[in-house]
Amino acid sequence: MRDVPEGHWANDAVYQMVRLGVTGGFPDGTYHGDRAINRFEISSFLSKLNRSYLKQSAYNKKIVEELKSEVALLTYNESPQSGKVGFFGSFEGRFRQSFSPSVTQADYRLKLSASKLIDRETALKINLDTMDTGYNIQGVRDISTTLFDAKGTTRLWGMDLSMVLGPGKQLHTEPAGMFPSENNIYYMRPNSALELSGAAKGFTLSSAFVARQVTPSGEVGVQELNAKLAYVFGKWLVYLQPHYVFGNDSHDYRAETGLVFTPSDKMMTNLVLALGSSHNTVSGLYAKFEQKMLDPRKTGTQITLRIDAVGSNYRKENLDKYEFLDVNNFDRLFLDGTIDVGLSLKQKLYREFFLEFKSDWVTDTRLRYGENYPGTYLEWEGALGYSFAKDSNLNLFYRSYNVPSGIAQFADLVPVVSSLVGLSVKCGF
Amino acid sequence: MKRNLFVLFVLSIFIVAPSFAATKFKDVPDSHWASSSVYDMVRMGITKGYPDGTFRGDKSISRYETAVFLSKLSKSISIESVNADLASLKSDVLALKKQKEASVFYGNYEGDWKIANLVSSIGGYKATVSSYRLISGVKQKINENTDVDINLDTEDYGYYNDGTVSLESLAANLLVIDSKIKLNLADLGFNNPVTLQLTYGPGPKKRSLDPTHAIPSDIGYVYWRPHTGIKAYTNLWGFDISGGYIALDNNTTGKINTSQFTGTINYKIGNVPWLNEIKLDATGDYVFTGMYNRPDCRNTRASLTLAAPLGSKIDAEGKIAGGGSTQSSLMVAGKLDLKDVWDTGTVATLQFSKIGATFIDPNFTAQEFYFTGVDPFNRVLETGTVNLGGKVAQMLDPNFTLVGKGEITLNSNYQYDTTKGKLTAEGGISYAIAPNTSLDAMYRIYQDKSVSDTSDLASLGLNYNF
Repeated sequence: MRDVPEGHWANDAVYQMVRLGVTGGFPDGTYHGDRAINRFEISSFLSKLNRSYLKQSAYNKKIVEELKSEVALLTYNESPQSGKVGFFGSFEGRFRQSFSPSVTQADYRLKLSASKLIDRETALKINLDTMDTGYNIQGVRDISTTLFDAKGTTRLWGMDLSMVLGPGKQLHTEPAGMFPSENNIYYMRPNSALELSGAAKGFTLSSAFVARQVTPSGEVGVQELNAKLAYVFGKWLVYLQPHYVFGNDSHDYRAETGLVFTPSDKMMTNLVLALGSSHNTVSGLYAKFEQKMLDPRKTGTQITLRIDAVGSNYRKENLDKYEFLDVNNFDRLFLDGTIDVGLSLKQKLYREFFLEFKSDWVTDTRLRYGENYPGTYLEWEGALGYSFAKDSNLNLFYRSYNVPSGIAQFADLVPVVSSLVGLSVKCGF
Repeated sequence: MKRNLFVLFVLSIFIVAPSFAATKFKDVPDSHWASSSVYDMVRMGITKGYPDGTFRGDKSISRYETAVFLSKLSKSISIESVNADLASLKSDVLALKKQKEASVFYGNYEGDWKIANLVSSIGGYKATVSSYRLISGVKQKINENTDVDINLDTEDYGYYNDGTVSLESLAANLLVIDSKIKLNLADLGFNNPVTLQLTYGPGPKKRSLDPTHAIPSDIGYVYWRPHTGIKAYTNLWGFDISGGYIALDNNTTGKINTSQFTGTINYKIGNVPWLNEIKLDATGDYVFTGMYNRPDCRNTRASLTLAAPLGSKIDAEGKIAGGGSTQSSLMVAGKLDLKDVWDTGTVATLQFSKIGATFIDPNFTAQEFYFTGVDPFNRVLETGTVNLGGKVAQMLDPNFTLVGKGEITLNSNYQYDTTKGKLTAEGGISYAIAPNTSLDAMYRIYQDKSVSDTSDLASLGLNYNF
């Protein structure tokens, strides 16, 4: 506009009005800024200004809506239910020192999992567990046959089908002259198995084929077929589980029945009675009692008491001798002909600090313990912990391993008393 | 209820009705050029005209009237604000960003083809070697105070393995797990957070053999991997201090036979004339075998490093270190970084070191080797040598860079002789194919006086950072 020069005080305002479409000046290319304005003219200005504003506002809203859907999509893609690979795991590192003989040691164990939801009902999870290969190994563990395991789940004919490929439990033997309390412990890893299960009206029926004692070549040493019928009524769960186990030249029938009582989310009682290979005698039985209390009185106390009594003929040599049982607080198998009283306790202290105690007292089936009873032992560990994140803590611990007979599990010759102190860090992510 | 609704209905007619009544100004016919704008104003509630039903559009407007119109307009423009939406968008994006940052996947891939002894024939070995090295990891932020880094480095396992490690275990040799936990110990007088760092790693590894027999210039190459250890560091009274315990030789059983205690104090001296700032770094180390009842063997070490920027484009660093009390256990080193000093796209580093014959304790040659540092070819510096080296990179254009490296090793009397004499020179060109990706071609000549052998090497490599 000829009459609105560059340096004019209202120059910016005038051209802003032009940009917004409020005015175009007079047809002769002038603005006549000093002329008085009449009511018609201002009506025209204001009405046009309003229209331009509405247009801009609609445009902004459109952009915001677009952004919103983009962000929602991104958020969904990053969430676990999107089916994109989820990635999680845990890691535990330890520094340990024993006194007699003096050994300093550092090792770690890493577990990594990646999961992928293929569709709404099909999922795949792949796990890596380094077990003792993080420095505390004696031999070689193959990455693909031993360190990895995988589980796929899907639905078939209204039932859940799951397939597990895993190495099964892995024995750790401690290098000579190191920590006797770590010799012959087991890492519980999944067995290769195929399981089909369905549920209706409180009943769950599942059936599984389990491969046990698989050689690295993939040959299954012992095969197991089992069925499990479970029924839930209120706070009670009962189940019955018969097994048929067969190897190259022998087979075995076994059955187990259990009762789980969960009066609240802080209490749990579990009773198991199982009949093993020797069907006609008491020595073929196994009984378990477990009581969990997760801070029922809000004193920051968690207690688990567990008693496992295993008859001396519960399992068959060369077939399932070291199967069908869990490990105790120190990763040791419950062997036939023993009673194991396990206790674990956690007490919250000031702020993020806590005390932890766990022990296993192992006797023969008549509760006899001492130097005349090989295989009996008392192992306990006390720890002061500091929790720095969820599932993550620093622990300063002391462990004592007492084998009065000097002969531990699996006829392992050990000192009568051995102990160690250590510092460990655990991180869950 | 029905009755109430009826009352409401009637009321609403009375309230709403006036606004439906079309205002028609006597003096604004529909054909008037401004008629639509005028009735727009009425609809927006800005004006109703004069009480006598006229608008008097040709009348000049006063500043008062203008103010009233504008103020009413601003009230009438009820733009549906997008502010609330924007705020929620912002928090969603921040949450996404945080989630993304909580877990970072990173790495470096290096693959190359080498043709060894292209020209030289002494030694008799000719070979074509292809190998790769992959470094990759995940950094996971567990919470505000905790970071975990899980890192995999294939080192020389990517086809160039010298076979010195019998157990090629993933977990014991290739993985490093590093966790940093920030602790708030203000109660104990530490005003700054104390970081506790726990690391599980195999420690640095030196190539001691050449599996191809044709690339002797790679012997001594160091794969820098952290040791297993615990370290705590914080800033106290302006000093950066750290202390730690390091397992110098955790083998595959994790048993630690040689341990190291280490402590470092780092101080920045500001306002130094000409130099502005000097960084002073003092480190003390104590290396030992046997904690309680083993035959003992110990070594105390110390080093002092002084670093200063000479202007913004030159960094200078000097270091003196001792591995014992005699003169032959001393090491002096200096380094000069020239960061494009003449604005010609030239970056160069010069380094000098003189290492005493017993700088590394003879009892700990395997564990302490890395204390001497490395030459420009990332090879560990030997004891009883003087080493002069440098690197230069000249940018030709944004994609092409010429690179050169060289080093000469002399004996401690500054002689190039058959005891320690070595010379390596390398020149090449690097082409940036894409951001973080380069294709590198280079040629290297290496002379080892002790075996009076000269070898050469041409290589083409791909380097990718992710």
